[in-house]
Amino acid sequence: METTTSAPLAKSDTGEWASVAGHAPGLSGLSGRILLRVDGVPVGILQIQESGNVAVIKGDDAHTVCIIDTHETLIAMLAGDRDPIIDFLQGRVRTEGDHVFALRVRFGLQAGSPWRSAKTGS
Amino acid sequence: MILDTVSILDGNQFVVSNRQGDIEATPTENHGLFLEDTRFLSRWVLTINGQRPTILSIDDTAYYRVHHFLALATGAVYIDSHLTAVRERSLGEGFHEELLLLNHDKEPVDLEIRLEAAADFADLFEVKGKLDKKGELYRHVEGDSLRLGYKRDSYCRETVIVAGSPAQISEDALVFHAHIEPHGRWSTTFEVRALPDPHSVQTKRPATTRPNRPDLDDDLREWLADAPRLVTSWQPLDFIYRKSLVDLAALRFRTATLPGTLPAAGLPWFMAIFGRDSLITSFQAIPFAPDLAASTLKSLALLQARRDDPFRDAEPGKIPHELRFGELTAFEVTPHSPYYGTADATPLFLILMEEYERWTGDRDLVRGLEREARAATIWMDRYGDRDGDGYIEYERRNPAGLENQCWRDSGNSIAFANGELATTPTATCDLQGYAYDAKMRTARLAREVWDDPAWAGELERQAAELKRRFNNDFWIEDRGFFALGLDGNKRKIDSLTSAIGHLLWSGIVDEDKAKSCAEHLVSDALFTGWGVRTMAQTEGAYNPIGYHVGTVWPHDNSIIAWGLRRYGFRKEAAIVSKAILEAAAMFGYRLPEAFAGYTRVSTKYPVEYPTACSPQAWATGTPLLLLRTMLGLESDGKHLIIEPAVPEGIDRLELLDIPGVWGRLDAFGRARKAKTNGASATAA
Repeated sequence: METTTSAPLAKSDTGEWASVAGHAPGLSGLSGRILLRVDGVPVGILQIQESGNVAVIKGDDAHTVCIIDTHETLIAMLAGDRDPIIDFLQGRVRTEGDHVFALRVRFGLQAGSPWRSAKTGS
Repeated sequence: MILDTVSILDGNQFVVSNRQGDIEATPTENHGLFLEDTRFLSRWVLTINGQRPTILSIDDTAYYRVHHFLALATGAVYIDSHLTAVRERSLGEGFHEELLLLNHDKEPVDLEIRLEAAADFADLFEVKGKLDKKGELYRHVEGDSLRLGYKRDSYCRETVIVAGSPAQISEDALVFHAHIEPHGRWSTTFEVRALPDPHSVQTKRPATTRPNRPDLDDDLREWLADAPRLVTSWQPLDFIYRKSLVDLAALRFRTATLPGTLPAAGLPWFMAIFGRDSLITSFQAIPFAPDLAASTLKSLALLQARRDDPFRDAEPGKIPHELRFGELTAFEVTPHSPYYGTADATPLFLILMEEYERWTGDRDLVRGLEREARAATIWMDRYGDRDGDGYIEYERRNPAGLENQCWRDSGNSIAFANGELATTPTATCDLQGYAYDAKMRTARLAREVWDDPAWAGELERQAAELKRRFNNDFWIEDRGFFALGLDGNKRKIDSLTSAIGHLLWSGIVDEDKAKSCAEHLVSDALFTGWGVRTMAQTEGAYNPIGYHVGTVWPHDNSIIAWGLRRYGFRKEAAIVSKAILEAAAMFGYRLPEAFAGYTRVSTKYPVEYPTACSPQAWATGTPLLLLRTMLGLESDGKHLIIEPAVPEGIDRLELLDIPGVWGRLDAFGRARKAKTNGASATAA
């Protein structure tokens, strides 16, 4: 099931990372939305479509919420560069709602992420 | 044997205390309240008027609850006490404890009751050593509760203790003053809450006392009611079966991050997710509790590696070995988040998936795991086969990782007949058997569920080629069995081991070689009379009390017995099955992880292996697979096939309400004295 798309975040909303969108092969077959909250402030919704396309869009409501300690952690998390279990154990990323979905997304981003490409400039 | 510790457990939490109920952790006394690989309470000591009560008895009839019956002794030779103390403790997000004091005297009594409390928040891997905590321990008295905590950067763990009646609370104790009338009573309760994430919404609810958790009672009742009912003329089997079901219930692991409950490996050191252990235990339990397999598959699929990570011995598609939640994992001192150092969990994952679908008909779950199944087969071919010779071999990339990444994972387990240790990369024979079986089974799913006949054909071609080559490359002609493996120089590791039974289970063995393998398995060299040894007593590395080089492992025997059945050696399967069940009866109806490999004629009882886990998941699952073996239970995807071969001494064996794609069916078997292979079968 494809989710409806909303307006993407502009670069000016939160930073360079916010305008990135693309394909994450490890997320194919998944669909859903995760509200991203950094240091208590909502910064957008990670939208995953069944095709594996991902983007961060505007909005502040989703069934699942990821509460992230810093922007640095957020960007590394989107890039699939952080170990989801380590983040969970250290309390850097906390989940409310569907923990299993959040973990699937976190692991899925490790298989390839548009934010990783953005980070490396490729 | 009376243990000097008492353990209660429920999935990923457990309490180890002395017989009085006190928790006094030291490097040699591994007491504590443990949750998610962390010790949340390291001291919990009761004194009454400065004196420790004496133990009278313990009632631990439920795995999650224990009663300690104590008396305040006078110090004389005889316990001439006028005061009884009863501590009832049950698990649930920590534990709940009720303390009841009974004054049997005709005079009133005034008492000071003191509970000392402390928490060291040790990682399970550091409880046996000197703690070297990098963070800060703290204690706060907050109104009617005591908060013990540990903080290291954003890593935070806390224990909150609340008493049910007014107490003087200091940073290291809760003290009560009680006046008890003649023949009167006094009681209080304690709620000890372990908070792995004290800042989460779920754990911010008030820490109040609450009654015992009735849900665990209900849960166990439902679990037992859902399982098939056993009727047998051999009474020990009744007890063994019930013990297995209860222990399996106790070992069910729950955590918010994983879907459903799956078997943890074993108490005390392995109350964690182990891929291999969960997969094999779920396989053993399929005809009894198929939901375990579903949870195991979903959880391991979630944790399947997506990237190449040498620290964790991970490659894309690999199924994990071990997942831990303690501080050492959190700060990457150890690689368990998860660690992927196992070469067999990935093919076993595919084997369980097919077995589960064939028994339950649950195609939805399997459809949802197609991508993970494809990734697993790619791992076997691309990463498992490290040198492109067509065989799976292993070699750790993390120097602190496991040297042997098969189920015989101790450092000295893979040895030549002369005792020389094998070099890596090692291609053990069981890995090749599992790979063959996994490809054959995945081919069926590809054809029937994923609608990909081309892939199915390719998998079958690969499996056939693997079988053909394996029967040439691993067979030791002059000794008539398969090598334990090929070492780093492709030399045959020529020890006789129980691994040949796993090969029968997998189906990789050519028909003309099976008889010789079966004869070896029940020969004096391998068979002790209580079961099949991991390594034959004729081999150079043999040691009857060596972890994987001579001990008897019940789960190993359950797989061997099923393998013997698969190739038609019903009599031999029955011999192995009965021997292990007789050993179980000697161990108080609970099979340990392993026991010593001494010959039965020299020991009246099977000899314990000192550090064996108990209960341990795949030992717990062993009686279940043996029951399946004795009744010859199989599913063809539609029907329950029953082909009993019941050992002598079990005249009657009935398993009622076996769940599966057919709904519920019954199986009946009885032994025939004149012809051991003879059997009867009916299905209701």
